[in-house]
Amino acid sequence: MLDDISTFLREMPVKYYLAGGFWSTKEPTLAFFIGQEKIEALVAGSRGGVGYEGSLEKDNDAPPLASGQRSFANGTGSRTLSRKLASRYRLRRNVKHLFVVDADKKDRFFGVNTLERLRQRSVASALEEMHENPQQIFGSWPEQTPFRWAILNREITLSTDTSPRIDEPILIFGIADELCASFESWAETQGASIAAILPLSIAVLAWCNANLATKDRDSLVVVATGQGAVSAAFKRRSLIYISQEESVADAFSALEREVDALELESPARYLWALNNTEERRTIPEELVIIDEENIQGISGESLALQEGHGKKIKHDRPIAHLLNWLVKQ
Amino acid sequence: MNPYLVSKEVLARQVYRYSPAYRLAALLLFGFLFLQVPAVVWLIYERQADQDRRTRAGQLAAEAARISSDRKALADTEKKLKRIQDLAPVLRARLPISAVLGKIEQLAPRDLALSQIVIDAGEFQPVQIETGLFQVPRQITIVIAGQETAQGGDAYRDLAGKLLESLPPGSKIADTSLAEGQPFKTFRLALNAPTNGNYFGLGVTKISTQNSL
Repeated sequence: MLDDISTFLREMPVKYYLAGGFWSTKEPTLAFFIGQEKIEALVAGSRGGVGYEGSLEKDNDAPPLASGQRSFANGTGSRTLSRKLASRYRLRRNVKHLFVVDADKKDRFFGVNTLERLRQRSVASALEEMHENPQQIFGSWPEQTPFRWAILNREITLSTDTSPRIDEPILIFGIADELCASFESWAETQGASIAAILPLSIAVLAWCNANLATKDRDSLVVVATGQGAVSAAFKRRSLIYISQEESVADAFSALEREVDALELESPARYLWALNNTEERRTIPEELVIIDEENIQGISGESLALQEGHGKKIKHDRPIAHLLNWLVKQ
Repeated sequence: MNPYLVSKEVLARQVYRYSPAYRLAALLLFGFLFLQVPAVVWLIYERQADQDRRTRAGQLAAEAARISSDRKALADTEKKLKRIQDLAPVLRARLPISAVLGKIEQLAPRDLALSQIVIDAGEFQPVQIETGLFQVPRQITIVIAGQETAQGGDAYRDLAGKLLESLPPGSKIADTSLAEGQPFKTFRLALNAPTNGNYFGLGVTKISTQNSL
């Protein structure tokens, strides 16, 4: 009891309380897309995005890049980046961060499995085992780097706790502990809390399953990022397959090979690309590319967000819609 | 959204932000600290005032020591001054004889011839001062004798009345007598005046303040 009190007195967030934390825990969210060389951020209030910053990697106080390195310069000025953004968009000083990370292949892991195959009875025990002894879970685990692990249900619902049956597919994903710790450390310097740290591909698949017609028709989704492509198959809204590939063409080839094994019925094909892909000639003709042209139809709205210069500009790049959707989850 | 991939340590710290129990505890703690502000301000003020008092006391002690040191040099002068002050009752119980004589000369009518003026002290009171025992008079007796013409009225009475008005309050005519004779009548006047009264009525003026020597 005394230890708890002394820990509380030592660790209590005084600045947070004095900035209004006593009365309200509704905080604006700064959703960062963290790339290998690029950092973007969507600034969101209680009703969603209000501002967008397209190239934060140049800021002196920018968060670490997905490579784990500080972006441009190290050190802070008189105000932190979070304080500057909150002030620029006239939001409360207390903010929380959401990191969407396009991590290097060696720093991330995705897999679809079942608790039964993992020989675990619950999500909690599976997570504990993965943390303690990943070789035991995955058979062979080449990485010596510690990872942080999470498990999502087959619908990739981000806002609910997962409690699947032991024979239901589950999505296992992880990111290198060191990379996550660098974001936590930076967020602490900003005086912000952390909502979550998500791999970009997982966030995109969650968005796709929530916004595309995966419920009506089996779907094949390829997520193309700066670090290769991730292919996923949804059967009636349930994720049943995920794999990492080198390119979009490789990803679709792999999916085509698996269609019969996965018992998919004339699946729809989607491509979510972080940047405009040059590989359109090598990919299926009936493919729906989720880009600026059709995203308004998919997500149901066009995003008009203020930028640093004060003017509102349409932001219909898929990453902006993704971040805006995530802050509402 | 669930806090995916956020460490337990960070989540534990975030509990302090979002848990109503911790926020209430922090609010109570801050409220308690806020209530201490007046006491702290008072303590600081008192400490400052006490420091000022100590400084002032030190200054006064130094000043007293300096004055005491200076006073030692003035001890002989003080002693002399004390003697003078001791003489005050003696000096105060005095009669300006010249003023009395001048007044009598001024007031005496032409048909009066003064043959004798006696001014005497009486009702002595002993006063002990450093140098000895002094007999200080409390009353002055003025006796005037002379003649007036047999046809003259009560000129000596007019002299007595006017002189009484000029003497200090409390003065009185002690005796008047007239002996018939030809061609002159002989009269005698006796007046008593207190020694500690003011003699401004005799034409004496104050030349300076009391303590100015």
